[in-house]
Amino acid sequence: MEDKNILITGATSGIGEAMARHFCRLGMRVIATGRKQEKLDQLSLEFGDRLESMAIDLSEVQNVERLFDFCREQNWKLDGIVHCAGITMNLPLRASSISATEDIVRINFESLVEITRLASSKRYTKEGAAIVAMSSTASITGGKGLSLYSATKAAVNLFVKSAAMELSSRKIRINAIAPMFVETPMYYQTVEEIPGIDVAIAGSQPFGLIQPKSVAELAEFLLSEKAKYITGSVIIMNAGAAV
Amino acid sequence: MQKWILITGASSGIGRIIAKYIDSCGYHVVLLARNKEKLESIQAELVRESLVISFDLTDLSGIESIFEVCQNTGIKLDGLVHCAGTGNVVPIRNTSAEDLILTMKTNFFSFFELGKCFSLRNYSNTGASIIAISSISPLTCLPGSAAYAASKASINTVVRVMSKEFMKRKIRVNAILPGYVNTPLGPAEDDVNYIAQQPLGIIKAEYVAYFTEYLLSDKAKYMTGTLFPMSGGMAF
Repeated sequence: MEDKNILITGATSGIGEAMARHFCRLGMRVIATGRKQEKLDQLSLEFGDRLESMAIDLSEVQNVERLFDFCREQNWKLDGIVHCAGITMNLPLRASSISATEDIVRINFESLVEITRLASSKRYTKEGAAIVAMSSTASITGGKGLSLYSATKAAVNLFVKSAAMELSSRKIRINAIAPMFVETPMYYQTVEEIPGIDVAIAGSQPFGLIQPKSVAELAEFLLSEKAKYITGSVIIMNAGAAV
Repeated sequence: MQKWILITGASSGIGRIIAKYIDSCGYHVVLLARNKEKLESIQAELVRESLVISFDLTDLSGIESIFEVCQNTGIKLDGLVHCAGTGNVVPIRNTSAEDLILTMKTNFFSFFELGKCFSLRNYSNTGASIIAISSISPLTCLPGSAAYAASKASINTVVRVMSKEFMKRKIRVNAILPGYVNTPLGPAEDDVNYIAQQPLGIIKAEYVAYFTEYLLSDKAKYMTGTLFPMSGGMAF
């Protein structure tokens, strides 16, 4: 695993953090980003020179280029990118606003576009590199209160499909993982906001709440050479739900 | 590890490669196809103990006998990988009713019977995994693909229903949908006519085997009733 450089966004919590830990343990160089400096410092302490970090707010989409330039300055040409930065939003349409829509579109979708645009360049990525974006089964089912969130994830799905066609000339692959509920702070945030939803979720996911490690293992597979013919796909992890 | 996986279509192409790969990963395989000599020569190449069963899957009412043989040999299955299939590029006008029926029988009706028997508690362990090697063909529906694509589309649908019906015993059911693969049924690796359609290249069968192993493993424990395209860059 020498000299494999993996960029993980959203690495300070939830799925992104599980990704950072997983790829460090595999012996790769992980470039971890998130907003919380203290959390990045904690990860640095744990993983030593396996983990590099940069605190950055990707809701400011122009920061993506700063992040990529940081990697380039250090001569870390990327083998893989796992884009986990994103927000959930449980908001009935009537309670939503123009700015809420703009925020979630920017963080959940525009940041992916910018990351992929830069990743397509040989300045930043190796030939044969791979990208994994986080989607959600909500992108297929929708849901009450999820009109904005599910639409941004559906945008991720279609973007991945088209981008894959353009990236294939450099043998760069891009796929999305669409899980049902994963046990993360985002899940607990949802449970807090909507009383009783944990019971509904437990009922809909016969195989249980997904552990972040399983999502990380899937990302590991998708970034590996073993997945070299898989691109433009949305890989659903439904935990037994009928999606 | 003492996991036994039944592989149909094991005598050639994707089935043969999957058998060899998962054997190297520590699984035991039950090799099923019509041609006994071919199966025995593959068996000779395997590292671990395996079982050869020669059977014609178009004999639908006889399919349960496959599972009886396993049971009598003391084998309780942990997986089924359905690779058996036929596929020709034939325009609808040149496809007779008999051709259509044969394609459906070989590819789909056999899978239906196999899944049905596999799901019984005498024949499989709780938490077992069924994988159908389907095709991206029902998503692209190219001219000449009618019988083949329809048979694979049927597999895709039944995979989803099976995943719900077999949930009680925690049996996961999934399908892999590859684009063109370099097997006797597919184009050669360097066939330029196909590279344009599939920019990442004609899929080497080993790569179907890698994802099959992933789906058999505990890593895929949250995945069921799902269709997984392996497009090789083909638009779908």
